[in-house]
Amino acid sequence: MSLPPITNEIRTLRFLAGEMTQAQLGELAQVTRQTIAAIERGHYSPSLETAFRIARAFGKPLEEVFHWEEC
Amino acid sequence: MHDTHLIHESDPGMAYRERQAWLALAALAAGYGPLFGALALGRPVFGRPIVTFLILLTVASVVRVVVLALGAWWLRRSRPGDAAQPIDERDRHIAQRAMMVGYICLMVWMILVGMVMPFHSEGLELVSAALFGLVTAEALRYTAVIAGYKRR
Repeated sequence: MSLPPITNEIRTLRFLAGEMTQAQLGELAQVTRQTIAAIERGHYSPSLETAFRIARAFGKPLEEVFHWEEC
Repeated sequence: MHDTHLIHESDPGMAYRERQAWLALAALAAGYGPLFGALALGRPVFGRPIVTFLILLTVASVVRVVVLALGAWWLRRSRPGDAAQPIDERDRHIAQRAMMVGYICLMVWMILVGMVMPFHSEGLELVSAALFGLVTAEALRYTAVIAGYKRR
C-alpha cells in the first residue's frame, strides 16, 4: 500500500508573510531559491532539519506547513 | 481561502549547479570530442601515433580547461547572487547520485579495458579506450546531475 503524498502550504504561507519571496525563505531555511521552488511544487522532499527551518521561518508548527494530502 | 496568485513567482530557472554541469559537459565535448573523432579516423597526423595522441590529448585538455575557466567566469559574472550561495542538501543529494552513476560507468569500463581488451588489443588502443571510459564516466555524471535537477 502506498502512502499519500506529502503536500505543503509554503506558497500560501509566503503570501501571508507579506509576499515573502522564495529567495527570502531560502535564506531563512539555508537552501537555494530553486530548492524552495522544488519543495513548493512537491518535486523535492526536504530533510527534517530543513522542514523545521521552513516552519520556523513562518512561526508555525511543522504540521501546519507539511502534511499528508488526505489530511 | 486566500488568493495566492500574487506570489506565483516566475520559473526559478536553472539552479547554479545545473548550469555548472552544462558547462562541464560542454567543456568535455569541446575538448575531447575532436580528440576521439581524430582517434576514430585512425590516421596519425603528427608522425608516430603516440605523438599524435599526446599532442591531441594536450590540446583537448587545454581546450577543456579554457572553456571551463571562461564559462565559470561568465557564470559568476552573470549570476553573482547564485554563485555566492553555498550548496544545499538538494544539491548534495543530486551530486551524490550522479557520482554513483559515474562511478559505476567507470568501473564497468575499466573492467572491460583492463580485463577483456588486453586479450585482443594493446598499446595505444588500450590507452585510448581507458581515456574514453574516463570521459564517458564524467559525461554521464554531469548528465545525471542535469537530469537530477530536472526531476527534483
